[in-house]
Amino acid sequence: MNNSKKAQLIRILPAAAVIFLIPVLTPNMYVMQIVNMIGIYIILGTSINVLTGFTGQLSLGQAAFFGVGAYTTALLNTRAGWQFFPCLIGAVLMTALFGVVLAVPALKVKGSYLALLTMGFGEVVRIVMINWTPVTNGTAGILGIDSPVIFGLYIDNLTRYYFLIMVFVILGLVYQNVIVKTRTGRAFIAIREDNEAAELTGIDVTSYKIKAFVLSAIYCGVAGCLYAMMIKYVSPDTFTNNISSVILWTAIVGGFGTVMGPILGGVVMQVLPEALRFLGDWRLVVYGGILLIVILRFPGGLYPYVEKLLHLPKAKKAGAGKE
Amino acid sequence: MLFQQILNGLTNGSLYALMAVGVTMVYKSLGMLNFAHGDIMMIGTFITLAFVQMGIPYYIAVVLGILSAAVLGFLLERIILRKVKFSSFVNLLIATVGVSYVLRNTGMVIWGTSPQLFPSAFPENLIRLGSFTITPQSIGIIVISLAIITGLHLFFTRVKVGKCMQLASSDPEGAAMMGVNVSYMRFLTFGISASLAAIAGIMIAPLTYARVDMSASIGMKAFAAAILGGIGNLWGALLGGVILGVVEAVGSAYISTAYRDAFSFIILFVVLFVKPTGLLNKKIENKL
Repeated sequence: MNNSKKAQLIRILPAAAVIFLIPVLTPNMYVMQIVNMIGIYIILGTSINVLTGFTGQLSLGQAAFFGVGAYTTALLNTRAGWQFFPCLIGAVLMTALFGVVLAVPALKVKGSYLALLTMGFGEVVRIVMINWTPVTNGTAGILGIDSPVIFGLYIDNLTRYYFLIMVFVILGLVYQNVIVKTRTGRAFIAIREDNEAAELTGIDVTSYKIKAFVLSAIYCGVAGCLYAMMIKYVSPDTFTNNISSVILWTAIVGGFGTVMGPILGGVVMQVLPEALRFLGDWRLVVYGGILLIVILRFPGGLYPYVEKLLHLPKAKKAGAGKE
Repeated sequence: MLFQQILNGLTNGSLYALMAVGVTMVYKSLGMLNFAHGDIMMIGTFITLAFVQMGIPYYIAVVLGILSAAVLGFLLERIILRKVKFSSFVNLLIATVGVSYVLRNTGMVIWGTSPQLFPSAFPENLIRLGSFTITPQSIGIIVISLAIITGLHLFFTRVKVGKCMQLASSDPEGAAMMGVNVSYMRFLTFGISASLAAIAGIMIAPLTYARVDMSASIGMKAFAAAILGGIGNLWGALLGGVILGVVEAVGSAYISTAYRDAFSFIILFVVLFVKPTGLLNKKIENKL
């Protein structure tokens, strides 16, 4: 018991040190922005990890939830003047509602059908964002979102914002870690491994699937709220199918169904396009090409390999296995 | 007015059907949707356009465009999909999404994002039939699409290679035991599917301009049409395509043009909710 606690401490301390060192070592605001985006993508990667990695429900429409979270925040802030926490709660409730809306038709289908259904859902949400001009301001998007004020502290620069994002990243990862070890998480994994068998053993597949969709949507909602408050601008161009693919890749590249996968994925997926900037227009082509190679060469994601390289104890691989 | 819209819907619908047939063929042999289908269409269309702009005669350019799409389909099967472990559904699907991402961004780099005029094979004049009008283009599109789908049906039911392809995709092990080269048949399936996409693209482009982002909206409608009709079924794909086309045309005329692209997905949601197997399939889809 004592030993495992010690092992945990050994792992937590360097992580905390890294979190506090990053803003010190960051040379400028441009890099800080990328670091913040990594944080947001870790949350998004976790969202799809819960849904696809653990529960086996593929989604190509995560950008819709991300967008709904961001737009809810933007609207509540600019129209109603709400502050950060009320906006966050609003975004969470709204995305949870959308999670249920998607989950109901999604319960009936799986595999490619589910992929297309979620993709279509993302597209419909984006079409509404573009065309429901009185509310969403169309393609022009919504400008002028306020910086968050938390307990009197103005989060007005990216370094402060970094710590705010990190709070949610850690909460999100810890919650994911906790849920995987509970009854819910075991039910998720059982559904992924064999839907029928899970049902036979008395798992209420329907309600757990809805739970997975809602949880995944809420993660995206939080990410969307943080994104809207950081960039201070939302537009339909941000929440395209391309972004849904990137979110899915974030979890895949890191390693589906591993708790740490989204962290690694978030870093790789955000740093790679910046590192490829010297390629100019061809940057995204090469980016996609590299990701394809990663998927072909490392079918289980990068994390299992990193783990092997670092000889980390296997304790964290709860629920990892075949897809 | 309504009749006119239905006619317009039939024109677009037969193009969606042509795309959906390609989607269905690949689905049968691979067990999943090829998410790069729309992008293969886009690349085929733009290659044709590039040949036309180089001064090559229209029909030769069309043939070259279709061939290059077929080559793209072959490459996709040989280089990418063959390398993915076939047991891993998510990896297979995400690999096609990755190919789609690469192709779309390649298209944007080479041809830009602005719409470009695309030459039509048909004369521009309107044909008046009583109170409504029809363009030779619409007639041409409907006739060509129907002819291709009927031809494919005959190919799959009468010609030996076609029968082998059917067998190889519905029962690969049985086909292999009968001496059918299953991997070659899959190769061929991808080539035919890709060339169908290019043909559809070349016929759509004069109506909507050639745009790099047409891959997303038309590709998704092709998937929707294929699933709507019941995937794996040639006539289902035709039915699905026509329904989508008509619903879209009538919906955008009577409800809202802005939500044109949303109608097809709403129809898809409803059909998947009410009858997840699609309209013409009886068996529940159990592949994962």
